[in-house]
Amino acid sequence: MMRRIKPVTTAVLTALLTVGPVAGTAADDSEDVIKYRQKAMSSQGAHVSAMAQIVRGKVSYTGHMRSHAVGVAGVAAHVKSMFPEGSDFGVTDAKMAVWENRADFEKAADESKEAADALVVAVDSGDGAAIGEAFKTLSQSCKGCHEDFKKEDD
Amino acid sequence: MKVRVWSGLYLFVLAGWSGVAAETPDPPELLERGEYMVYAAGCISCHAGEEGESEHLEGGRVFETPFGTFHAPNITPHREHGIGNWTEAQFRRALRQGVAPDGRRYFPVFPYTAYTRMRDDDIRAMWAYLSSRPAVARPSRAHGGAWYLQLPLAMRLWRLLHFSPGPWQDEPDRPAQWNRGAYLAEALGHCGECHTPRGLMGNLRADRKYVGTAQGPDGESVPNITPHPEDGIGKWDQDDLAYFLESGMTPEGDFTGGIMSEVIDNGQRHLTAADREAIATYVLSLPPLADAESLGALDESRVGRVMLPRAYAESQPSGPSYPADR
Repeated sequence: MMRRIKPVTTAVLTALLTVGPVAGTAADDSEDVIKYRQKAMSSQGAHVSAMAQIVRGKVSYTGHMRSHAVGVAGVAAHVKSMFPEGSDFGVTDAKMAVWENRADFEKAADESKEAADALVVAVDSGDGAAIGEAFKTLSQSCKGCHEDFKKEDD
Repeated sequence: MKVRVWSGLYLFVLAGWSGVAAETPDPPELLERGEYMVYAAGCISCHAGEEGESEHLEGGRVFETPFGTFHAPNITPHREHGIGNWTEAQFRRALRQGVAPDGRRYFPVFPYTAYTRMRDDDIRAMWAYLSSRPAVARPSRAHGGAWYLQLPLAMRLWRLLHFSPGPWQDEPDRPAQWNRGAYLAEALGHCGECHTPRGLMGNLRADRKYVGTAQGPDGESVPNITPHPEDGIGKWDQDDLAYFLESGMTPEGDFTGGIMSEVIDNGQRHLTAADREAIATYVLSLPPLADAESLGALDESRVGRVMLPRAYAESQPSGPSYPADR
């Protein structure tokens, strides 16, 4: 079967020939960008799974919630920039939809950022029910974005 | 209307008494239970519109399989396009036997091989609930099954080899929670339809139960969910898995995407915590199996490409198809 050259690939090749590497900031290698964003996303997962333990009452470290929520909100603001044009090469679980449906991807990333910010606000309010709801909304937002933009692990 | 009548009761019903049920509304508890069963059985992801996003079960999801293309039909109570003219007995036969009201056999893309394990009272509740829903006038699309599925007796032969009908029987030496989980996973949730690899005839391979496959729906790989410590979910505990079924979050804080995300949103998330825990108990009790790669894999691209050269297969007209044979 003939492999169609994807528009993104064409764009990247053109860019490589004219101005050198394009992923991330000007000089970053796309494989390093992929590695970096995987680590950053893992840190999001680590914060979220730690928060799940607290929200579900498995541990009583409620005072830790803010640190985790702020961490997630901070990195959530960077998600769009972690998937630059050209970073679809290499070992990545990102679907091509990240680049092909860029507007939808950016909208989903913005919604995650908003959900994380809302969680920080809820934590500051100290209202347990509101925290639970905000955490659920954030979880749904993570899942919703993965549904459209991330391949399942093997 | 052509319906194979096989009992006096049917004659009675077909003679015009099928409207009786609609006049005496089913008690709310029955409808509630029926709705719960629709969630537990995962009906919505396939029957609610092309993306599983409709409010109603008017059908539409397209299944591209090695055996052809299949379309989930309309199961709203619409009299022309849905199941509005069916009786409860016909509905039960469809789930329990995989047989349509006109006697034709369904393709096993409809997981009657799982639903056959459903209990009568759960089927009754599901029927009451589905009958109470609004009718949607969306025509069901004909399946485009592979040519050899149109052969007379093809489905009958398949059923002979790969279908053992009959409701779920509890295993007496297992605790009630385990049996509940097994019932939910096997009779209703039909986890194996995606998570168990298929043999050459599209049958689920019992010896590789829940080990995952590289050739899942939509061409995506499906993970190993046996309790194998490296390849499967052996490092998850019961609480991890129950929470995953509620939220989509893995113990590492990753979130599932793809079809599993729909399975959670359209089903698992709506179950009781106790039922999700029961499913987790059952799944984690299964034998741990290593991925196929470590054992020498079956070439799954061969599934469905059986018996005759492709060129010949493609020269055959696809013909009428839904359901399979007479």
